[in-house]
Amino acid sequence: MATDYKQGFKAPEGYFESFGDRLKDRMNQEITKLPKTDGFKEPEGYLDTLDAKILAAVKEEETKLIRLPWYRNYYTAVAAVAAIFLIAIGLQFNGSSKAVTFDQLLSDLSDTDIETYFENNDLELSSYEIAEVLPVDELELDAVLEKGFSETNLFEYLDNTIEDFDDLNLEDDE
Amino acid sequence: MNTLISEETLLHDLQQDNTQAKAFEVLVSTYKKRLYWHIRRIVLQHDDADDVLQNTFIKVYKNIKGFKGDSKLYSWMYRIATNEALNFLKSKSRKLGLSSEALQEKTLTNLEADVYFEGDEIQLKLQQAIAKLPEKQKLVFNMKYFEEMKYEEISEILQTSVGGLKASYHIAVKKLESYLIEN
Repeated sequence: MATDYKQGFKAPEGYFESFGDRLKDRMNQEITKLPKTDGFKEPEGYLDTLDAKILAAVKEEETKLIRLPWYRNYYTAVAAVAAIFLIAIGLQFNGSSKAVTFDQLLSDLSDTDIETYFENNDLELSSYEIAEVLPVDELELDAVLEKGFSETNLFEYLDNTIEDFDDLNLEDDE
Repeated sequence: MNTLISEETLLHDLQQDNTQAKAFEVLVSTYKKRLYWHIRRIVLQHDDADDVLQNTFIKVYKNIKGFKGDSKLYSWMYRIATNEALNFLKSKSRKLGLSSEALQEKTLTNLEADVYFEGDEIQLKLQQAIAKLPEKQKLVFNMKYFEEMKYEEISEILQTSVGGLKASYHIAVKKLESYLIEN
């Protein structure tokens, strides 16, 4: 028995020997005031089929292409064909004082010529090249979008491209 | 964090065209469960967690070749998952025209009827208490308490000092305990 003889108090027998263990128990109790699990569960078999689902989603994303109908490439065709004619004529009349303008060349070409050229030649233009030759400021957005320009499409686009909506510096109307 | 294949090998294979597909399957299989639960505890609903998880892996796939290994692969993925989940919630609240607090309230109310939540009253109360924590404390608490991650791992993911994380966790636990006692 631990006794403080000077003041007459005493502690129960073995109190100090077992103090460390009791303190540990008490501290564990403090921590376990919070439930150890959160109660969430996943649907049965969800994780088993997840791999295939994710791989399919990744593949779909990879093969997603923006396909433009041929007639929407009209501006590209005009620019490409005119450029080829310009080069050809430029070579032919090298050194000549005759100046042939882009507009003159364009007016000499029929729509059928342009369409035929475009259909028979794979121009393989990248989106950057298209952007360079297309007068974007003269185009309506609908001319390059397969689907209608709806709010849903806009949200979908923003979801997929914007990391943080704060970057848009939107202000709440509230 | 233990994995059957070393991160270095996996990363190397993920960045080579001829081994990428196989390595990505290994990556998905290795991390799907951990990332699912990490995301689920942020967004709470299974369907939302499923969407965010798929977006996370798509983002990983798209950007893996540009990953320079400045941090560990798993912490990079956790970081993507965390950002995707938080952005998902922001986007969802915008779509529904709700503040983030109102969305959280709505989600917690729905939790009682959620077939994929089987928590008892105290677990539901804990979720309500967690929802009231600031974002960082919420993340730290979930990662430390439920996901049992080391402070060093959390530190790399959230890019916060270990000391700061310890303080956040301690404050979060105290707040949660007080909430549960009072309610």
